[in-house]
Amino acid sequence: MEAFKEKLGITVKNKWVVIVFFSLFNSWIWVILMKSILLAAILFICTLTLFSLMCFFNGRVLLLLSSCFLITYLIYIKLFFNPIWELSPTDIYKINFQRTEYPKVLGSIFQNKAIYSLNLLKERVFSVLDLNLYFFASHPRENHSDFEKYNFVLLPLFIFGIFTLTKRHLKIVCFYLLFALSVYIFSFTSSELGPFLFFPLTSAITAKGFLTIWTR
Amino acid sequence: MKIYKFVFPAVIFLAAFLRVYQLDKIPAGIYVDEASQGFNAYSLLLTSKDEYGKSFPIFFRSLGNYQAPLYTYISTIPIHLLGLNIFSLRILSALGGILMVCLSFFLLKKEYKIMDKKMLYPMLLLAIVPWSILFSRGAFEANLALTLVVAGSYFLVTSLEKPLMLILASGILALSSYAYPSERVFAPLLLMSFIFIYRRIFLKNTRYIFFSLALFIFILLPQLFLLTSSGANARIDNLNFFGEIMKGHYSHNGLINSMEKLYFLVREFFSQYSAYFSPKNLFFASDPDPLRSIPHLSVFYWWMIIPLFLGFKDVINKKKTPLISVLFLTIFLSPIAAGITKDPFSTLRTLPLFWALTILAGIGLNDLLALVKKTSARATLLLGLVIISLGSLYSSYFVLLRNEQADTWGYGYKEIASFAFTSDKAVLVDDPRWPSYILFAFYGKVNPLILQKQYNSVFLSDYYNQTKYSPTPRIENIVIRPIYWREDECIDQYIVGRVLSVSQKQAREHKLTEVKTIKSLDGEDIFKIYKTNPNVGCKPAPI
Repeated sequence: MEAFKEKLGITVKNKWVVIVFFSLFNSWIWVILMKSILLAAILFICTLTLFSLMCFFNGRVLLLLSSCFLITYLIYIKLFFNPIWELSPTDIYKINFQRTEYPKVLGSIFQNKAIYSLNLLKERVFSVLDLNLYFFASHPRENHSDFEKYNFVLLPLFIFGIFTLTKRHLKIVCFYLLFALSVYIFSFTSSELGPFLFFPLTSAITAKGFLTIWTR
Repeated sequence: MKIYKFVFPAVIFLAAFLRVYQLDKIPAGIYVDEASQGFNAYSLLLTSKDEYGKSFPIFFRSLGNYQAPLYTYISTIPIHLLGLNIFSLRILSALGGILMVCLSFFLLKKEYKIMDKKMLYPMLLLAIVPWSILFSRGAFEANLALTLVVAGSYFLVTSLEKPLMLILASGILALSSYAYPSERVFAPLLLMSFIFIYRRIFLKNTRYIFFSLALFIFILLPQLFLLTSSGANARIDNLNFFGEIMKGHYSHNGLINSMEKLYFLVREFFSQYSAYFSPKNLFFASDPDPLRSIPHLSVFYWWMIIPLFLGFKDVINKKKTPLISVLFLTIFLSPIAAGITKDPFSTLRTLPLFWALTILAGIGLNDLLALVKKTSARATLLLGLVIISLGSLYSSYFVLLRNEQADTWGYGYKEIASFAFTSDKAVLVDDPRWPSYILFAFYGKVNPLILQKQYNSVFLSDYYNQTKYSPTPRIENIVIRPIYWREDECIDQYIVGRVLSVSQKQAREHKLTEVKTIKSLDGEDIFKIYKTNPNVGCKPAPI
């Protein structure tokens, strides 16, 4: 087995080949590339820096990742600005109507703008925490704009990657995830580019899963 | 600690209260499948036959879907004691939900030995979790199947100390396949996998394996004899995606070779399978079928994603105990049956999965709370999570589901039935949406002989192949069909329809008199009842 691995040239030293491979061996990055070369390039750098942080901590790498992430974060907000506190007249009507279904004071406790906005945030956050969105084009609950971001054969690698994260990796992943999810307070869309802020995370975890299996 | 001797009964009481409180009023109305269960149980009590006249069927033809029989048979007990009503119909499911929580207590005690918070948290979550409340408060046979699966799991774990219990576990798991179709796939897989994992223990006493498998097959014999009938396979034939893929519906041009078929089959199965593990479906979006979902609430409360993840990480790194083995087997085997159907995220088919995930979330909740050092802060956090959860449950289930989904749950038919059965005239009901005759039969406590006489011995001799279904068109003075204006306006009768069935213009044109409007609980009109005026409205047919 070791000889086989050596023949293929995939050793621990060549993990960068693995991350580049998984960053490019998916339809997602190419869909983004067709729309914006700049955005694709920034996401690619994000992926490499996130992956390298998971391998070894380095202040400069962290700075580079933070900068690239901030750029994509601001691009997302600029393109799809839709904050959760801005409710449409239909939303207000719904709140007022549902309030009448509760007894007396309870209506204003359970149905108000704050609760409605929080539910909106929940909807946005959980819409991207969906394995099928990334690996099966949201099938069997497709929307019109969904497309298969990664081939489904990579799903086991992704799951393996998630469950073999060490404590240190978990901290990095959780921080990235929380910052990425916070964007949905300010913006949201089911765009044809998908939730591209999560591209570095999914690619890095899939690559990590592959490497963990390979080196066992 | 002594306090747990009071806390655990309190949790059971909470579970019971949430499942039994206003059981006959929330959900408002009953669904056709529930009515069919209840009426068939009622028919068995009075005539020893189902609504079609079949004596003690192995599957109930019901509404053409050949329901699993166990829920209907056991329902005869509460219906005999309490009469045919919504409460007696649903109490079996509610008791099943409460028993599931109690059985989980015994299962957890086998693992943890001492009654403490490691046992408390999974039980607390099982008591209040949305999926269990929803399915315990309707006549869902899958909930009864889950109770049997949990009981079977308990005896499986016990059998490692007392091998004789393997026979009992096998019998109970076999029985679960009579409660819900998914268990026909899951129960044997669970039994075989558990025996295989612990084969070193079981092979010391091979006779127990032999007797347990023999009992399993013996109990399944009636189903095995009917394996080739259309009725036994009605559900799987209608619900699976194999046919569509083999016909090439998944390719762009309809042409598909065998490699592509294999690719699409594998892809389709894994997309359906993985949907049952998607955080979006488990914590937010829930079941697309409104009868199997709660407004603004999913299978689990949204905050449970964190303890569930922690629970997974906890047990993956630990030595595999019998409880962990049962949980993991349940988690990975339960969605297989649902994974071969084309319905997206059908929660009813994977209740054992949610049970196992809830216990894992309880284990993770213990790990989460352990991060908080101060006992008072830990207690406050736990109390806060419980209050938020119960608040969400109250809002979504006891208010919004009751009011906004009353129509979905068949609200209004009771009012039509009570109007129609006290009327001296015929009542024409235009209701293409459902086989509503069964609802009228249920509410009217109609004599089952009236329905049974419509089916002759030829029909009954081939009972299990009668998959071509059309609803009964008449129950006493209620006729269920579309309105034929030319004839119906000339008959002295009442006409009942949904708001869209008879417009105001039609009512004026055909000289109908509005007698009654039945409103939903949110104030929307659902049904209108009109009286015809043949003397005025009847137009003679052209010569």
